[in-house]
Amino acid sequence: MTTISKQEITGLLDDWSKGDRAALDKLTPLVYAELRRIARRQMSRERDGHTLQATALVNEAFIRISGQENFSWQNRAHFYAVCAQVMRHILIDHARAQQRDKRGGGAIHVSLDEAAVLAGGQETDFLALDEALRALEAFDPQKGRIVELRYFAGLGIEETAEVLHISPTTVRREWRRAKAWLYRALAEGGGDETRPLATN
Amino acid sequence: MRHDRWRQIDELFEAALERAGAEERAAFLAEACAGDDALRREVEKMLGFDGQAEDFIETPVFGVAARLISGQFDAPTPHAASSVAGEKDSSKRSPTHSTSDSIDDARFIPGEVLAERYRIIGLLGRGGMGEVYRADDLKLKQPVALKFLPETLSADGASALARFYSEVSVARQISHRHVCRVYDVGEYEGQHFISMEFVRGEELASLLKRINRLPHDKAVEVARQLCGGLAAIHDKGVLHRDLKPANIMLDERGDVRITDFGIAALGESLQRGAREAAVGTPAYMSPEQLGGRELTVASDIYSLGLVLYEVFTGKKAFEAANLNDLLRLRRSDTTPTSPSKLIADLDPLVERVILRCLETELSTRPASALQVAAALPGGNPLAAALAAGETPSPEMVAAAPKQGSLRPPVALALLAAVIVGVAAIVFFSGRVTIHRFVPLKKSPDDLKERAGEIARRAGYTAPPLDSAHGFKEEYEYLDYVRKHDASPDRWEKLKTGQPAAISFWYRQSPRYLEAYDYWQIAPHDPPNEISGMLLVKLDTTGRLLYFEAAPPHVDETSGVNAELDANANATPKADATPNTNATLAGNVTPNATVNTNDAPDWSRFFQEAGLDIATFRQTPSRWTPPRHADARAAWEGTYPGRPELPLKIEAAAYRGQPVYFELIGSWQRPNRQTPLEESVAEKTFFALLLTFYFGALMLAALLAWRNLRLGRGDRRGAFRLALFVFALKMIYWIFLAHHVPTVGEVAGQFVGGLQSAVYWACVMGLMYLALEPFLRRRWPEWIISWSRLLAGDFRDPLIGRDVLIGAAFGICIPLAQYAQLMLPRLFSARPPVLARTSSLLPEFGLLGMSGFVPLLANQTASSLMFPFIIISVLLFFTMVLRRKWLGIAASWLLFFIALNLNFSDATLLSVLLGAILPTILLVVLTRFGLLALIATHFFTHIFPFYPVTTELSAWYATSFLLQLFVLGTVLLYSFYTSLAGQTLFRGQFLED
Repeated sequence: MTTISKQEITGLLDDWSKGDRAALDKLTPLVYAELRRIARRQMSRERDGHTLQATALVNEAFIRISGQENFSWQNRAHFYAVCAQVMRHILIDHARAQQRDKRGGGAIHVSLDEAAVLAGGQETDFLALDEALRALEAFDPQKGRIVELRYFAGLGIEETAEVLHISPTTVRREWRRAKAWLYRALAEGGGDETRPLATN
Repeated sequence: MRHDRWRQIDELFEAALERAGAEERAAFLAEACAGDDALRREVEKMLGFDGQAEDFIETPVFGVAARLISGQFDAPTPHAASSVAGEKDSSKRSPTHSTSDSIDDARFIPGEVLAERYRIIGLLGRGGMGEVYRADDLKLKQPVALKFLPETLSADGASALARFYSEVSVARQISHRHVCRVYDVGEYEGQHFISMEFVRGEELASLLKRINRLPHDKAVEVARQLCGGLAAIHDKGVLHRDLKPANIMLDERGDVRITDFGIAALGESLQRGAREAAVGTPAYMSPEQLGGRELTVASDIYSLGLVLYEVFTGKKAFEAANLNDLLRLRRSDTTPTSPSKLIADLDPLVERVILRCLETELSTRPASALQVAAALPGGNPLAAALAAGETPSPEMVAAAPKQGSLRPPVALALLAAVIVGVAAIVFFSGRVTIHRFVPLKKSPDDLKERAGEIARRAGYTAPPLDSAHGFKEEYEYLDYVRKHDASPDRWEKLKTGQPAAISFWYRQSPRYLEAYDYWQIAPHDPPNEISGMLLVKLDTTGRLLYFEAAPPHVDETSGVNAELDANANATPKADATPNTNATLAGNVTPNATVNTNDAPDWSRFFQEAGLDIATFRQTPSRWTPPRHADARAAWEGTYPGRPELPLKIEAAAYRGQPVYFELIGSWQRPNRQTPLEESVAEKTFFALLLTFYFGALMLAALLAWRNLRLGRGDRRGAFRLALFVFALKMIYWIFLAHHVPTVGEVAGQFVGGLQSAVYWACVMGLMYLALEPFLRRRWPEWIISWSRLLAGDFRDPLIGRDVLIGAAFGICIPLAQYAQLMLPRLFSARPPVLARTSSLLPEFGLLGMSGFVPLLANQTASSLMFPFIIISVLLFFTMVLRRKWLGIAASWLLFFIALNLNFSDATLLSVLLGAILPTILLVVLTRFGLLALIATHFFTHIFPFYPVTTELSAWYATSFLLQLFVLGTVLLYSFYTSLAGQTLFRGQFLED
């Protein structure tokens, strides 16, 4: 698949956890390609609307990339984080493209609404959410990472706790407040062009 | 709000959440905020949001993202690194701001000058990759379009940048009227951009939206231009990957400009790892692109088909209310509605080519955009390329729309002409070929046996380890007849076989025969110097002409020998001491004649030669034997029944055993002592020939190298051709070489055969690389059928047509040679002339399959090479004289002189007839092209390279019959393909 060896992946994950951005740059294409491959295979089997087992998908990707099922948990945690980032940017880029094309017209594109319908009826302005998340990350990075893992990588409370080396209780508490912060940012941040904020 | 303030709020928010009831919280806040009302309000606000946000973002969006990357939506693939870059400079510019399309929000404002070179005029739009601006190039004073790339590029590091540059450098090479040019790359404030041609005009997409479908003529024109542009892109190894009406511009003149080619690929390469990313738009994607499989030229052809569909019908081939439906539609096996159902009067040619482009199976789609163009009504990309001063590619030549089918009457007439021609050649062969006069009743096997019998009778009874045999034309005798006998029946005399016009030679050896010069054993190669080696020559009826044997190296009766030598030293011409050993006896008389009492019984040899020793008188021996002998004899007389032809016989023996016997006619020259006869003219000629040969080779190598360097040479064609010639030459070697189980076979023979084959393959390949591009540029119509043949399209009618026509002309050449030999006699009392057939004779001894195969291999190889010699001369003269007709005339003159050099007794008639050959060669080449000339040369071989005869049961007729079979097969196949499925005698005849 790529020229990067398994050992290098471990090293890259370590480097990244130590804050080396270049390591993330190298990891991303690998992770992306693998996620894409697996997702595509699952999609071909499943009908629209079917909820993907996020954790299963990410785990499979991880096993395929690392080539070892008994990879250290430390690395697995980093891997989840990479996945979350990849997914986040997929969505943001897509949303940006949507906004562009709404104005450009012409070609047929999926609208955010369609994406949202498929996601389970939820309507979210990813761009605004992304902006809010950036703001949140700026003053509280831990909340940012929790949101990233929970929302973009689909991790549960327990898994998130394990990845971040904190207690599930902390995750639960932080998650609750992070949601409130983001909700607030979306509700207020839109200014006069108030964005539709949705709950169920 | 400052971060510490936020943290403060968050802490209080957290603490407040731990308090369960509303009152408890209020109390806590009142105490904790201690009069900071603003803080308190903030925390209360958070608590309020907490209530509302219960389900907020609780459902992960992982599934949506997974669907996006799996290609189910038409999503631009992510640039993961943009996160990094984006985070870094989020303070500078929020990426979300750039998504507005108004110039107010654009990154650059009108009037801004980038990189000290480009002045922004305005924002043109936003493509899949980034913003596109119209700008003025201040240096070159021309409008350009600047396309910005995602910021990720610089963040991706040096390797991504290098890849980007290399892709642009390829795209830059694409220069075509219908392709938007890429000029350069640049960087401004860390933003990379491509500068490209600014096309003023309208997108095909919006034009189609406005006017629905294009009028038929305009549509065909647009289609052809699209094909030309796309072919130019593919020609450089670039795939478009996103061909759609939105990426096709129609400039102010209404000409097509393909844009964004390869940029899609560029974008893809920037996606870092996502190799098969779905970058196109689902409506215009090929099935393999939708499936995420590897893309090829065929994928662009599919997209081209979809665009053409829309151009001609005004409807999208695949249309759905929304994307999901579209995807579902594309994933199903649904094929688009036939274009003719939408447009009733659509040209069936157009419909057929569109549907072929849309085949699911890749291999059934047209192989190139040029083939699409060629299939369009009246399409001729070749003519267009030539008109534009471009060198067409070999594929373009092969795809030229030239239709080759012959009308059945014409094809039939050609076929009949060839058959009648061959019949005439066979019928008249009795008048002009030597082998029809010389009695060839005895087969090589009979003659071999006869030679062995003579050897045994002469006392050489040891069974040989190895032997070889062959035929030889006795040209010295034939020349003698030509000069000295002017009678009308001079050739009739050959029918007695004596003197011999064709001789048979046989040699045997106690060792394996390994030729020095060549792989073929010749009468004197290797020399007959190994004791026990024998060379016997017979005439074709089996009469002895020549006998030679090598005496032992060491004399066993050495004592006697020493005495003999001593005597010889004392008095060189003294009597030898009479030998006591009767069987080895041989006295040397003072006058060097044989003492017949002790000498072998030479009368037996006279009998073997069909002579009577009584009619000859003995004379002193003057011709020395080729090997050592101790007794010599000579006689003089005349050929039986030919008193005008003196005949001398020389013989020699060693120890009573014959080692030499030869019939010497007055025409025969002593070859071992005659100095090399070379006139100044001949010397000059050979010097010139050598110079020309090596000069031509060097020139070919230089031209080939230049063509390769400029990317003009047809490497694939040259390689195939060279490989084919190599195979032919190896076959030639395998069948013709005298194979023996020795070290020399491996070390010398095989290497020699291989060298020769490699040499000819190289010559062929070089000639092709050197000459073919010039042909393709100047006269591509000459190589259309050839290119198709090389591409393996054997069933093309044009190939059949050219071969058939070539064959008809080819048969005319031997007929002209016949006429040259026969006709002059009708107008003046001239003695008859025979054709020289020497070129066929070395192979004569190898008749049957094993003799035919190398002949055929050589025939094929030389037919492939010969036309290139003609072409090189023609190209040379045309380039020097700068006019095609002058070049043709000069070439004709050269060929005429070269081909008629040996006609010293030229008459007006023979000159006229001699003019036929160069005329045919040049007419065939310039009118029907390379393949026809190859066929001409191939068919010419029947005479004099094969023993043409009416006696089909003769032993030598095998190779002739096999040749007739090969020619017949080629002929019938080309006849059949040239008809292109037309019925012979009924129905509509297509025009040529």
